[in-house]
Amino acid sequence: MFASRAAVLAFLGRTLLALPVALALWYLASPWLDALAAHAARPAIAAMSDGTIAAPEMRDRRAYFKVTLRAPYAGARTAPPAEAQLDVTVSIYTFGIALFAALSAGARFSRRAAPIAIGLAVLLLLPAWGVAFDAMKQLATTRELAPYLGFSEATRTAIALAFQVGSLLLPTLAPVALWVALNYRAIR
Amino acid sequence: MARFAVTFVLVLVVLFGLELTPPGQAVVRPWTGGVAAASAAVVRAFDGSALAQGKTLYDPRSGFGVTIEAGCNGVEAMLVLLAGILAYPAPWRSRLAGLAVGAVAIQALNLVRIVSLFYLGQWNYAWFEWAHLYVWQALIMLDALVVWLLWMRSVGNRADPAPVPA
Repeated sequence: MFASRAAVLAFLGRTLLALPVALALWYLASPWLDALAAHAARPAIAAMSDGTIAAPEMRDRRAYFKVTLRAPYAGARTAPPAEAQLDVTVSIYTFGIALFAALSAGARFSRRAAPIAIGLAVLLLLPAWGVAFDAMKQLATTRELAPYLGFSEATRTAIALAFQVGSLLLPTLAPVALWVALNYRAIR
Repeated sequence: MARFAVTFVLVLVVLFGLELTPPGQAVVRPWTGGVAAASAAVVRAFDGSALAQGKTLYDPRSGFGVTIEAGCNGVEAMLVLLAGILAYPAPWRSRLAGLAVGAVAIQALNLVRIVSLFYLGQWNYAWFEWAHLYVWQALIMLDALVVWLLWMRSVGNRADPAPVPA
């Protein structure tokens, strides 16, 4: 546990000092981090939509997914495949890695290689959740694609909830929760 | 640790799910309107030109406005703090006190966020985007973490009294 209230406030001060540096480093690395998250999200989007997805194109911190969906079989009247272009601002899902780095730098007990490596590894892949469900939300809310996707109301609700978790909670909660979990004994 | 983690996740999922339901939104929407009104009052205290309409804070002179959407009303950070406080073993009185202080700390910083974004957006949109999407998101969650750490320390101090000399 932090020895005193002053120790917590000193931790806050060091974290606030480290945060701009961490955000600058994240910004420099974000083209690669964003691409990694987008590529990791691709199989998840393909599996959930039952479609074919080309490798994402990365431009200006956004990932562009070209999705091809097959129409349900209806004999001779089967419709041709549908194509959709989805774009996701990936950087809003990857910046949490900077917060984790700043938190790790903020306390002496969390400046350890193994927990930092574990946290960074998780935060390299976790943004794929946000990217995948951002893309799925776009697909599920496009009325013209409903017959191709065949989603039930429950599935659409689950996608909406997963998108909200991925966009509102995970980007900032995941780094904090990881930092707490990886240093729980020291914090407590 | 495992008990804390499981309880935290379960409580957070339930609270977050409740927030998204129609009854939850019936609370969150007026709350967000209140945040916009409070932000307008703070801005008016400085230059007297901001108005709030629903969840939108705008400047009638320049026409610039910011809409307070989910994620910008401080509710999610309060839910995270609530889950952290409920998951940690502590007397209910301490929990309620921690939640009250934490809610004030989060909402006070959130007012600073909204007012700063309101001015920043009128000055430079690129900086507004940066502050809105990355910097303030991190700062609000850091606020919740620091409140929780301070609260946990105060609970720990009360739970582990100094040894009485024999």
